Amino acid sequence: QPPEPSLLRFLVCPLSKRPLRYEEATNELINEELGIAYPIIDGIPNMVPEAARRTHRKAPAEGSGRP
Amino acid sequence: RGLAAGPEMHFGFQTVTEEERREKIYQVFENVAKKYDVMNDSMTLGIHRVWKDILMHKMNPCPGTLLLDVAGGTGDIAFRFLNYVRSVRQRQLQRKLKHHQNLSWQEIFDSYQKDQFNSLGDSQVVVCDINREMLKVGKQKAQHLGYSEGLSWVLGNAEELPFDDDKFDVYTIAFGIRNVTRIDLALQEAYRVLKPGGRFLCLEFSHVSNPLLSRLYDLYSFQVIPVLGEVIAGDWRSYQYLVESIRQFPPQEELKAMIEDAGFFKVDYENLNFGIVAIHSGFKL
Repeated sequence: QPPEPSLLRFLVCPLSKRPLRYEEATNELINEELGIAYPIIDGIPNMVPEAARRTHRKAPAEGSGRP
Repeated sequence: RGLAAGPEMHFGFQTVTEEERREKIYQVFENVAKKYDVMNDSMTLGIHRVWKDILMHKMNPCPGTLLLDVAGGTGDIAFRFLNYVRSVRQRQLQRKLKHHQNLSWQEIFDSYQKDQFNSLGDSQVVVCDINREMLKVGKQKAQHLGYSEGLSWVLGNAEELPFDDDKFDVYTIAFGIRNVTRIDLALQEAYRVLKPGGRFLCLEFSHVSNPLLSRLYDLYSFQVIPVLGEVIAGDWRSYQYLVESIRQFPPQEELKAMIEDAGFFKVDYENLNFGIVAIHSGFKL
């Protein structure tokens, strides 16, 4: 389910507070700078660092954000 | 923060690490989500509805207001907000129409067409909660009750909000701040995301100073509520936590000081039911 379009205006990365790009193909919100993607599940963006995945091909072992 | 063996914190009357506390609280709300509304009605004999109505009247939002409702899981504040701005907007439109005495029937008919006069007046509420189950219940309720316009849901942490600076007119947190592990961070984030001139409103259980009432309240809290929890939700422990967490939460003046520390001005509080509940308010100036 895609997110509310109006919501995309407000959302930023919780870590860097920088803008995000909506990727329709994977239904994720991408922070290009940090190389992480937040998933959107059932139309609800999951904006906690624990939920984000790394977008680089060789994903490093360490997690992002708070343990 | 977030160390494996971190500083000691309270989870109700237990002592736990910061990480344990977050997990335990997440579990509590995951367990109670589906029965949350029923339990609220039972425990407070429906009075929580009045408290939330009072909060909304205090906010007195005008159409066009942008509200961030944090820890708003099942949507009680969000729905009230939408109802409120819709009715204010209705009255605005009625006043407008009264001045146009020479309208044709066609024009009058057109004015009742759904979106022509923007029934919410561009008001919007974003509900942010850290718990997926609570948001799920909220979203389902919204569908069931017919709320869709001007409403959106985000899974996020009050201590680390996924919103840009200076964005919202009002920030509310109703019966949520008690469950935040780092209240100071949540208050800082609240300050950050509010527009200059924006208002912070917190509705939360607080401290009863009257000794007789306090004893009755304690009796009710510790003898009745966990039992209700077991009977209605099959979960004694979560409600035991709930009751204990209220006792551990800072009293009115202390919370006021914390809100001031975050940078808010004209911080004040209003006791409801002798301090069983209090509404704290502050402004970003």
